[in-house]
Amino acid sequence: MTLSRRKFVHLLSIATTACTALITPAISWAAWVNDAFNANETEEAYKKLFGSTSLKKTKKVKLKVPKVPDNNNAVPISVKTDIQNVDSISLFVENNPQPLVAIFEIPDGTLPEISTRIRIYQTTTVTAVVKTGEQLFSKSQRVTITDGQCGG
Amino acid sequence: MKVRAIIKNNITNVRVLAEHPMETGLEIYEETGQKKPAKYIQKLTCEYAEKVIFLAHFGPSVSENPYVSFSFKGGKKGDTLLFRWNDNTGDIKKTEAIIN
Repeated sequence: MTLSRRKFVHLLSIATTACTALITPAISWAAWVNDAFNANETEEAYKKLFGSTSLKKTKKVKLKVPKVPDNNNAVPISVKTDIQNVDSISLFVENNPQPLVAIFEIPDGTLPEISTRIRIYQTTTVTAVVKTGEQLFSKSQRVTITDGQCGG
Repeated sequence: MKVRAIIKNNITNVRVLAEHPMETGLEIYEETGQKKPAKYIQKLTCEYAEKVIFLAHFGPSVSENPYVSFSFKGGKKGDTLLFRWNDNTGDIKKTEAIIN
């Protein structure tokens, strides 16, 4: 059975649209990520990264970070949760020059828990945001930086 | 990159330590007063069996010599994990590690 020329062009346009739909999200994600990292305020970073500032505070997100770190250039921080189908875990330090510190994508099969070390410049609130589908869950903790040691 | 990957009870725990100055772009050379240019890892990925099992996006507030720990279901002793980071100046580094 031969395909008529009109039908072929029709199928081609569908295929092209489908391919574009698959490619576009990855490029959009990259642009959002850069904008979010460049945001100077936490709410702006949330908006740029998630498209929303509606975060639900929850005890289901476990955030572990010292209340008074020994070395503010290498503050150990861990996030863990039993929330299902986590897409990403992100870290925000409110009073850092740019609050968004890191985003950890969690593919299927990877556990929703991470540990890392970050710089905290001054006394601040540290927030972990767990994204699952359209929902955003958060847990915050106050961290106190005692002396003027901002690194250097 | 230094990697330690250990499988236990069908969960592989991975610890990575990358060597990188993570310059924030905020610091100044004392002699000249010039700003040290920002140079920091922006993306760190881990692949297993040709699938990306972990992807981290970093800003300059991640500490010098970034350390990350994560875990994933599955993995087999002797299998290979492939790590890669990209930084904002175009540098790339790849490392392979074996699951123990």
